[in-house]
Amino acid sequence: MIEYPYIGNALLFFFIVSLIGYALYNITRRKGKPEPGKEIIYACGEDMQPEELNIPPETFYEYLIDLFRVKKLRRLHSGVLNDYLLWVLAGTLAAIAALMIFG
Amino acid sequence: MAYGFLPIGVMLATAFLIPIASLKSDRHAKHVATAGMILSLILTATMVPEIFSSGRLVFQIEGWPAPFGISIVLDTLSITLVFLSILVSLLVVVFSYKYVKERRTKYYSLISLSLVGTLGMLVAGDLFNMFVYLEVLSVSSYALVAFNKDRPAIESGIKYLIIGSLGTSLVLLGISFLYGLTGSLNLADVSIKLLSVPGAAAGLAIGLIISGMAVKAGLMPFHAWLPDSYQSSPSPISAIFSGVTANAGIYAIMRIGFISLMSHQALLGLLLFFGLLSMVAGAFLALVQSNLKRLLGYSSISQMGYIAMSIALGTPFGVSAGMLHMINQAFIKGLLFLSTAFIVYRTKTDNIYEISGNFRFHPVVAYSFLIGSLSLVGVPLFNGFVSKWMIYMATLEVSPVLTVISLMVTVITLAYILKAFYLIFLGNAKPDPDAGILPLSMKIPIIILSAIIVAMGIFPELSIKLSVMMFSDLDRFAYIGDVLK
Repeated sequence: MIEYPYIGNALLFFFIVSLIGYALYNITRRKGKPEPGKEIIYACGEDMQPEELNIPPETFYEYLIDLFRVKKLRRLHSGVLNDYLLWVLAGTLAAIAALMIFG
Repeated sequence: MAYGFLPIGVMLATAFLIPIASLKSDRHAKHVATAGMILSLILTATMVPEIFSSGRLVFQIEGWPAPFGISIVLDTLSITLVFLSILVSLLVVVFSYKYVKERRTKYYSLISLSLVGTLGMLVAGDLFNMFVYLEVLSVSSYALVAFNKDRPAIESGIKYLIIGSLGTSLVLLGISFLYGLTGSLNLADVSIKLLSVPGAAAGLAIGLIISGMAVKAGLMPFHAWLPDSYQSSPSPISAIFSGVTANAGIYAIMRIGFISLMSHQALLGLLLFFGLLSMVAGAFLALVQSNLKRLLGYSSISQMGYIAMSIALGTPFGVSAGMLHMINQAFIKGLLFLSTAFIVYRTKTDNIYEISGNFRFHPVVAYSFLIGSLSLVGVPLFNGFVSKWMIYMATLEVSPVLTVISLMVTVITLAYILKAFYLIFLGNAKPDPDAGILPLSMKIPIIILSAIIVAMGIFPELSIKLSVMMFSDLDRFAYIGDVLK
């Protein structure tokens, strides 16, 4: 008989955390009208337009992509069929070796 | 009578009736395909109560007993995947009513044939028939990838043809070795006779078969055909590839590996390696894609990695979690690809940086894509949460490192899918003269899939129970006893 952790615990935890998050949002949310000049984005004294301060989605994950060398992984997918066939053969050899030696 | 063969027989007849019915006009092709799939689905559903009560049904074609005759084996695992495959294919066919306007006869015939191949693989009790149905599935898939007949489609079709042919050749070579070693092709009989065969020889044969099936499943490093094929094929076809075809590959790996091998440690280690590689690399590669269908293709590779990794844990909990994720992914990817198909149909592009603001014009599709996205990430109240939660718990039992890796990949999944949603549906809306028009034939499948995802998320008990029953069907001794009695 397989014992499963009760999924209801996870759901309950999710809702409790969501409620806490919603409560925090309401408590810390600015109430009333903003004072003049307070709604402008502060850019450390620099004169920048709001459009310049938005991070474009294309570069949002750039740090993550650089950290894990994803561009190198992408370049490995060269589009050349010979490379792809070599990968299949390499995987096959690995599978055979694993099953022959350890099976 | 081998009524277990009826769903396959009906689909085969449908595939041949479509060209006949379309002699005067190919408008009838979609009606024949739909009718055939509905009938096949009903026939499958009628067998479900008997299978759930008796455990496993084994049919011998023309009464020839196993291991000499052709066996059709229907248990909870195979019947669930058969039902799922027909349901997803039916929804894709209905969606395609307005999507496909040319060469409809070929389109619906090829879908029917690919379904014949899939169903045959799922119910075959012997290796030779499994190979034959694998070829039927493969050849029809090659043609579907190249359906659009433009340069990218033909290039992708040729790549898939060559890589897929290498895969099926490996399977045939492995089956030949197994036949040479055991003198049998019946899976149950082979598993008994392999006990007296040197382990290395058995490992060679099984390794070849598993590698060939891994090409179909899209596991790394056998995956290279997948992103190009998903990008170039008609978008509804990608839903079938992701939710139906890939599942057939992983099913074959499970069935052959778990039944034929006495000791599974080496197989599980192999699956763990391929699974982790697919999971992590697939997610990162999806993050850098600008083509929506390619992004979902790499996402499919990543999720297939989750399934393989979970099965590789080898524990009852882990294997059940992997099987449940297989079912959930069919619905999630089906929904995401059909939503994508509509966006591509409307905007005539699949580049996420050229599309924006579709939430305003197509709210139904936007909400459906959001439901699919949240389920993919594993947010509660959607079916993806149930299987992902089970996978996290199962990995925690074996190694917390696997849990950490799984959670990290989920974060990457959240990153790429929310990026896609933000770019496609939010932002400045481009003028659309047909805004708000969603044909009924496209709306119905999207809504059905969304409803299934939400229902399975809110009421997960049935799907969890189903996954436990599916796991018990991988019991080697019970399988041998039922097939060879």
